[in-house]
Amino acid sequence: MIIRLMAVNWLNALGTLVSFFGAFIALFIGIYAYKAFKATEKREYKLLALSFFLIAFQALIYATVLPLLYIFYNKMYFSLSNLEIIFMAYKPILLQVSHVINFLFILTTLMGYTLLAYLYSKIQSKSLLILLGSLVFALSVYSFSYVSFIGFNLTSILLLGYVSYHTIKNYNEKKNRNALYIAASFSLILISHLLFVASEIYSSDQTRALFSLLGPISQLAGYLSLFIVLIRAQYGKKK
Amino acid sequence: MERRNKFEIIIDILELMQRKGGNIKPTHLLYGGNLSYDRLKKYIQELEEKGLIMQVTDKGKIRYRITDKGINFVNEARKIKEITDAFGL
Repeated sequence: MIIRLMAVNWLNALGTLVSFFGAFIALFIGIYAYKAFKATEKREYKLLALSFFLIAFQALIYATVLPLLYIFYNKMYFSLSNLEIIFMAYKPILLQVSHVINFLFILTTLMGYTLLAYLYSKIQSKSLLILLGSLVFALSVYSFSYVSFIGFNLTSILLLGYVSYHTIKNYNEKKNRNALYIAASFSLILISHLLFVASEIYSSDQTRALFSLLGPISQLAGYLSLFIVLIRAQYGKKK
Repeated sequence: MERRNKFEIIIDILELMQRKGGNIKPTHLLYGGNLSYDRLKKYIQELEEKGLIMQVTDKGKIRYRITDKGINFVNEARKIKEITDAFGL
């Protein structure tokens, strides 16, 4: 889910709205996890909080910085043709800024997912965490090239696949609704990444548009599922 | 049975007080909280210092009462527990 500066339509606006909502939800879950850490001093809650803060941060980048860059880029391109010389002077800088922001977006997303996968692995090893973090960093460096879009989504699919498997296992053990909503949310976000990959692979415009539409919808459903858990906890709904 | 951590013990003590109408005898806390006398004394002291419970005297007998701050703490803790349990970590 990366905005490319020259290829934007209303689908990106939908993606922006979904990301705003996602940032809000992830932030709240991060705050609750942090409160749990402060109360229990359990390391896993600290990492859970950190992973959701990273997810909130990436969603915020997607929802704010990238659209602003897009608007700026296109306004300059279409409206200020008389200032074309100035625009041409800024164009390389703008593109570089967008690459750096894409890099940050990919890095924070994958770091967030990696932390979640690490948490569910139950392996208490700092060196493993450093190794995983280094691999994610190396992969994020590829965000400076076009191939990063599929690479980023495929990595997200792998990490979320692992997380989803554990959340589904947790639901099967507990059989409670909140666990079900958590499992559903990760699975739906995973599906959204699959749809983003499909939107890149298919060459037909209609199919691409369909997948590009279904991607943010699936993501929205995933965030809504997390939102339901927050609401249920807030109002004390049990089982 | 899994060992309870400090947070869970505190929640158990406060929830027990709430169930007993917010007012409880130390002996009921001892049995209901499933704690040794020394440990319970330590927890009671800490909860009093944090303003989550207070000591009251009823007909010459010592009882412990959950404060408004304690009630808010239990409610917030329930929310936290519900969310973290849902993740299954």
